Amino acid sequence: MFSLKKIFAVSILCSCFLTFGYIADSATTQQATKFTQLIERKLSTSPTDRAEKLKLLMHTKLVQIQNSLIGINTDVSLQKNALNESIRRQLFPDSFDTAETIFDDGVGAIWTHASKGFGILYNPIEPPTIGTLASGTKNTLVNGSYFSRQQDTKYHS
Amino acid sequence: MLWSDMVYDDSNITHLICLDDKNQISFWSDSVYFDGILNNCELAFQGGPMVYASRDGAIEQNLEPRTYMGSPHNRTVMVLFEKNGIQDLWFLTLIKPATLADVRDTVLRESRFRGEYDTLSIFNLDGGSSVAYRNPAHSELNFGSKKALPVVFEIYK
Repeated sequence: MFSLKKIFAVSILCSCFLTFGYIADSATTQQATKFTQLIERKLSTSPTDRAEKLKLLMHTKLVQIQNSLIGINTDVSLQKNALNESIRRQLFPDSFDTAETIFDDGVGAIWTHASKGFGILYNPIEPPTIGTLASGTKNTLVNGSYFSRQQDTKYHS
Repeated sequence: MLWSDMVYDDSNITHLICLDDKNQISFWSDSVYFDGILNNCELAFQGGPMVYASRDGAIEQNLEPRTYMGSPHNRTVMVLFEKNGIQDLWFLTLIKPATLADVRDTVLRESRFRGEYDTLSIFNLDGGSSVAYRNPAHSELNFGSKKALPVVFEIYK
């Protein structure tokens, strides 16, 4: 019988297996496919509304696991994220290639369309804290430190 | 803040990106942008180097003579396609370390845009910490959450 416990167990398992880098390679993709098929098989036995809720919960948990690994740039953490990300993309394929966004796993490229233009949210002289960026419905793109020479740091490209 | 406060004499930053009051983007090399050009920009910021390509295959770039182009970094670049005078703007985030030449090749390989432009301009916004990327739909990609990042683009949806 399908249960939340099993979903979480799978997601934890996902975060424990080794893969190779944040960008999923073929082995990771295959592993993710197995998990995805298992999850979808389990979901198919649940009533539709419950399956949708569980799927959404799964989505959230995978993101949370990934977020918990941000800033931990070890091979293992990157590998965990690669598998998580690969599963999530397989579970939610429509989210990752739209008219406005393209994800290209092969080269690790994310395209974001600025069809309605763009602006600069923050004065580069006063760097924002990320916490202030979390709200709102617009996409934001955070660029690195080429303005940071004013702090006597080096441009690092 | 004065525009002049944003202009740094950094040999890696080769161009100014200007957005005028008609939402048209133009690029200006560092030899001419300091005075009159800035007054006509609703928004402007620096970046570089740049690749320019036309549909007939001609590619001009100021990357090759520069030694730093060989350094792989996670990067954010602006990609501007133009066809019949219409601009189509994308931001490209490379979450896998890439040289500027890799960026150029990634753009030229993207099938969605192949042949769909008269010219395209690829503009390096930054390397290194420019991996930081925030998108409400894909918040897990915000690897730069623990960094103080000075430039934040708002992409209108």
